[in-house]
Amino acid sequence: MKAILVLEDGKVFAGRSFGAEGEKAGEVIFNTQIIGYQELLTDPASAGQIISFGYPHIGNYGVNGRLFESDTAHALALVVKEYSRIYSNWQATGPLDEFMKQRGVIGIEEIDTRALTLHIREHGEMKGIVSTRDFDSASLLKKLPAQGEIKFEIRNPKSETNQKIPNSKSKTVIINLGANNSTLAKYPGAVVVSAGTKAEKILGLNPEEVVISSGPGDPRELAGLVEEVRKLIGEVRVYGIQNGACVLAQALGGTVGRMKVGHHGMNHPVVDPKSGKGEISVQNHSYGIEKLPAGAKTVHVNLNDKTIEKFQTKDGRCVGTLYFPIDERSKLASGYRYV
Amino acid sequence: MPKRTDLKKILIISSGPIVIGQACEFDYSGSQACKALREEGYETVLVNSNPATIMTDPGMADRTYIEPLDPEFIEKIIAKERPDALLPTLGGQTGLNMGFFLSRAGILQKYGVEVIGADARAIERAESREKFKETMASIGLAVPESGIATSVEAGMALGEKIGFPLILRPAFTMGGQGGACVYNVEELKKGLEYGLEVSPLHQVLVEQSVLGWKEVEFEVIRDCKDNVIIVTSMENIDPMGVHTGDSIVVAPAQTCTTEELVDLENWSKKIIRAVGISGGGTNIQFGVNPADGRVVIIEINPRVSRSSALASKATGFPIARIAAKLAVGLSLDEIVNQVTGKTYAFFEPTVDYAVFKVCRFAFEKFPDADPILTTSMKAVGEAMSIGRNYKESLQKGIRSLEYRRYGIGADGRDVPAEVSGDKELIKQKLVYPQADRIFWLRYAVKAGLTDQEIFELSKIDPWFVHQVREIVDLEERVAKYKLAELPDELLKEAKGLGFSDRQVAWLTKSDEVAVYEHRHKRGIVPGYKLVDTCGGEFDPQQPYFYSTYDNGSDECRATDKKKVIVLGGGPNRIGQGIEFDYCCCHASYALKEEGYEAIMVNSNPETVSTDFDTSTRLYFEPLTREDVLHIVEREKPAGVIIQFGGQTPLNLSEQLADAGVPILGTSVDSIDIAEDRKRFKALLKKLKLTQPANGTATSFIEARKAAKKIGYPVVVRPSYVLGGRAMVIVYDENDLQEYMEKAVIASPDRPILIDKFLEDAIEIDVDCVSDGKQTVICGIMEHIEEAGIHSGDSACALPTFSLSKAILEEIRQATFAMARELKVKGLMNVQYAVKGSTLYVLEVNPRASRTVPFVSKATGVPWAKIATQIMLGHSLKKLGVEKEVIPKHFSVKEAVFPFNRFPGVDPTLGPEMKSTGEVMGADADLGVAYMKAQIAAGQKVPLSGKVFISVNDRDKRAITDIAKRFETLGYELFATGGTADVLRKNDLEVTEVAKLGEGRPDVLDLIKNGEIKLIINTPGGKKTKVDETKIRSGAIMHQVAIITTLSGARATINGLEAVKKKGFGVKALQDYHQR
Repeated sequence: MKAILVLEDGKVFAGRSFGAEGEKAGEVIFNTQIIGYQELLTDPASAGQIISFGYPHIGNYGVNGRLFESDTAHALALVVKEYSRIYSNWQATGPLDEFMKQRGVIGIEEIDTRALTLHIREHGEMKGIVSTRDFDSASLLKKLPAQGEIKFEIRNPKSETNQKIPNSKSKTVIINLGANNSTLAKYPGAVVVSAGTKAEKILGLNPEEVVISSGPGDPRELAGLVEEVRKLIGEVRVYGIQNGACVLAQALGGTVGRMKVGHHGMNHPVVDPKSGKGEISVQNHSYGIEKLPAGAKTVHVNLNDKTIEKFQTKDGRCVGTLYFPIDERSKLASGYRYV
Repeated sequence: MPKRTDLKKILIISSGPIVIGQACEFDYSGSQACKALREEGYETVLVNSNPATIMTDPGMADRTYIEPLDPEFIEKIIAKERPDALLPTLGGQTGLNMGFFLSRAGILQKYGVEVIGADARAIERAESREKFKETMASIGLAVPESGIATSVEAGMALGEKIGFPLILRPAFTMGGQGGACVYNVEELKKGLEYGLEVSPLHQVLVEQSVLGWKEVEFEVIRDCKDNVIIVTSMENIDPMGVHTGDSIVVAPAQTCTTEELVDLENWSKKIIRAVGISGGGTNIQFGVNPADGRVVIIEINPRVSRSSALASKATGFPIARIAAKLAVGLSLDEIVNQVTGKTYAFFEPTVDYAVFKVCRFAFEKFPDADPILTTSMKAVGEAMSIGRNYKESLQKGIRSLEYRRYGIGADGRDVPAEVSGDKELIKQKLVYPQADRIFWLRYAVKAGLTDQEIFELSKIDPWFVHQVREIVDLEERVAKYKLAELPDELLKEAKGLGFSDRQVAWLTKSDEVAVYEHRHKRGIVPGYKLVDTCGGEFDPQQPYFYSTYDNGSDECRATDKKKVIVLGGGPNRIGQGIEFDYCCCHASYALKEEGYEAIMVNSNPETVSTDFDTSTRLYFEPLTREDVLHIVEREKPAGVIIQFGGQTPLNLSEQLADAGVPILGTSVDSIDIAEDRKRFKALLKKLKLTQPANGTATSFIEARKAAKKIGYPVVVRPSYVLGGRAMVIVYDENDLQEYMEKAVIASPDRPILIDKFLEDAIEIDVDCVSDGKQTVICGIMEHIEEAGIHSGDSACALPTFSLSKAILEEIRQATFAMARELKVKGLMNVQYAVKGSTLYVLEVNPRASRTVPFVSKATGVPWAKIATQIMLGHSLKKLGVEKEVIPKHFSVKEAVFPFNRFPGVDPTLGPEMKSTGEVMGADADLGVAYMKAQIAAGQKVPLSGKVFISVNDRDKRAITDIAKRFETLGYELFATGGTADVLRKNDLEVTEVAKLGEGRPDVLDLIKNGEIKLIINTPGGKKTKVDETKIRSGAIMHQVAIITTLSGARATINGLEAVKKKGFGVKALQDYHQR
């Protein structure tokens, strides 16, 4: 069956449908990873996104129970060159398209995804709409929501169970912007609170550290949270991950902005700008630090474009990281413990 | 970290001749290293015995030594040059072993030379199986259960403890040489004996077999700051049990989950740290159990390798270049990624395409060799293809191999249906991997086997099997149509799965040209996409290109500038290898110098020609009609150069010319004159030149008639072949009948050629360059072996040593006359034979020959460059090239053979070419130069000891003189009955040895016990062949020097006498050719 992707600027990519049928609008992102489709699909930070893979074969190893970053899918759609007709791996529990169908994720294949990558590289990340019903691009463009109107859930249901661990000795509170399982696993027993929680309530839990998790959407729209985080600074150690780091940067007085093309892949070098020592990281962010808060210093930059990937305050009690280190435990994106 | 300033001069040891397991990937990596180090301002000293390489061009290193890769010679070079450091990781296993040896022997210490790239301890931790096991255990990584055996007895005990099947891996050998998979006690014993013999340390690892496990490889790099990157993963389609050099390999890995791959990558990072490589790279091979994901580490290679060359070409990340820079203290974050031009080497390349590497074998040359693929590498070459999906790259890869297959099947060249449908045979073919297994995957699918069944038989992952199934499904849909009715969508889909025009033509009962034209009318043409290291994330400055039918974005960067396309030589094979790549690279360099854009088309990932900065633009494509024409249409070049890539582009010349493509240099018609028997005969007649009596035949009856008229012995061969394929000398009618019946399929347009065989004639090779008016001799080479041995297998000397002035003048005039008559523009090679005082013309090739790089190194003149300039319209006069250069010193070329890979194969020479590579020895004295070439070729000719002589009756008279001279030099003579009698009659002291089966100890015993150090054995014909093969093959396996021709024996004794008198010296190429 036919499927179509129309970008905000009118560019049309027509292909064939796999996964779920339907129609969805979101931010179109290209990702340069060759593996990790299941993690990306299920990471709450992918909410509201239509993800295109440059790598041509997607679905090769099916899906399995170990690769979830949350209990369900968050990405709206996958755009691929070729959906693999066969999955082959001893751990696989089923094919990817079945999984997508069950969770309402639309798939389009037979797309020249490299062409899509180049288009975004040139014109910047933008909105788009996928459909398996309506193939009229003018009609689809009319359905494209205005900025900020793309709706998504920012909760990871798994966080609920996390909250219920009895007699936990953890001194960590996680502010949940859409934390993924890898992050949660790094803080066993941590108390997870929603993004709307007041600072007083958080401090009332007596934490030693507060982690602002990664999550989807535009961190500039979280003004309320920024206010609350400001109240935490100085009281406890505050760590921000990806969009969480953007929130922290704003709370410290810095500014954040949308990058023309975000960093989405698992081959990004982050280095200490002085020593040149660093590591290869997993990244999935479209927003970055434009102006470092006064009194904070850059710890790591992305070697490719020199954007700030990690910063900290002079006393070391506030740290923000835009990237995910590749984990020791063979997870793709690990949560990061900053101690 | 800034680069080191305490180092000024760096010695690079390269890998020597092309052999199985070590091919031109080390010319590629060595050239990159030379360039990278010079860029950083270091003085470089290069040692390599292989004259056919680009790296040994005088401009590549500051000091270039074409000398044997032997500790004695390298020490002399170190003493003379006094380098500060030695970089041993760019020259394959040979370079690494040499570095390790020099370090252990205290030679490096003696001269204060530091090892950079990987120190001796790191090398030992990687290469010594015991240390390796320890190191892996220290980081908690499982190694297959194993033990080291230093004797057969210990190995047998170990093997029985671990249990069958077992893998045997001799330590410090390359390409898995001597490796075997054994299933029982008898095979274990045999394998141990052989493995202990070939291991320089006499160690064999006896290892639990992980046959059938997934084989996944990584290229890992670490700098002095401890920054570590994974360049790419690669997955072998042929699982564990087939050497990775013989396996079909895809990049990146396709069937591992994120978790599995990240796990393996994390292990890889731990390994490179534990082994202690800082400032270099390593290849790491894992076995992964497909049933439960269990991981074992198989081996690591702490150096650049065939796999690293493949990884470099597959991703655009030049590993050797980076490794050289890391070795001098730079770090990854400081080195710019030249392909993107804006990012750094500290990142991990990613791809948005599928890469497929497939191997080329030469079993047709060695009919007695075991064709089953095992852990000992047998492939002689490889091709790489790129597509926007695996199926597209798979089919492109197969047609890149130039086996006259145009895809995985349905190209009119499948085996007959009754064969391909035989389920029993299919099962055999799937279980026992041979070179053609990929085609049997298709037959198996067509015969109705399921993915799971095929997996169980072949252990090839069902994912790969399914790709073949998808190709088969589409094939069946296409076959329902005639070309005219074929829906465009279906045709486009077929092209998108890599179907060639030939396949579409066969399926729709049309022909290749018609399909090509039909497609163009319908607008179904490929676009070009980039290898850019980054999956499109950055706009690259120096990418390279591949064609694809996934053409939503066409990124062809063709310009309006003046440009020329150079067609490369495709995968290496016996008869066509690095020599032609050398010429193609020079064409590119010359074009760029002349202000043209140089456009390279080639499919061989091992070569310098497919390096991203050799040409202005590189197209990584198969060399077939459609693939080349597509590029020509987009680039619209001023012309195409076809005379440098060997037979590959030559075979395309007519098709390209017919399609209106301008061919530069010598015309297609002239090429045809030289190749067409009748036209060539007429040409020689016109020029009053002599040819050996000859005829043609398409049947035995015709052949018998012709041979009778010519007179036996005759040389018979098919027309239009390379490397003397299926060429034999026939002494009588019975042999002729056998040849005509068995060996060859003849047809009226492809008859069998029959020539008089000139016994005991001297053979001469001439390379010349002509601008159509004037011709200059590049070099006249005199063969050491008599006529009848293929020129590619024969040793030769430049300048000549026994020819009279009159004959040399006759040769020159004949060469000039033929070049003039053929209106040669560029290079031409002629083979002559001199018998008595008569000069015979054997063969003319109006193109670059295998000897061009040798001649260039011997004379110090860049002949391929000059030929390119001529093709662009310059005259020899204007170029100032008007005089033949006759050097004052001798250069000897010697061939190198793969017999040690094929136990039991008779290593005698004949008209069919069998060598894979060549070496050069140079000295003021011919004898010394010859001995240098012998040593470089791996012939361990002893300076004293026992010589065994056994020659055929024809050679008996001549051998006495040679034997006498051996005796004078103090050698002890051993011989079997007949030869011993003759020697004794000439007052020589001989110890008589029993022939095989006539008592013990026999010759083989003496060989095995290491008593005999040199064997002179000329073939006695059919009757004695079986025994002689045992002796000769035994000598090869036990590394005893063996000479199989009388002329070779004579040259050897001349050489030994000269060496005893004068000794060896070393001299840089730059000093031989001072301007």
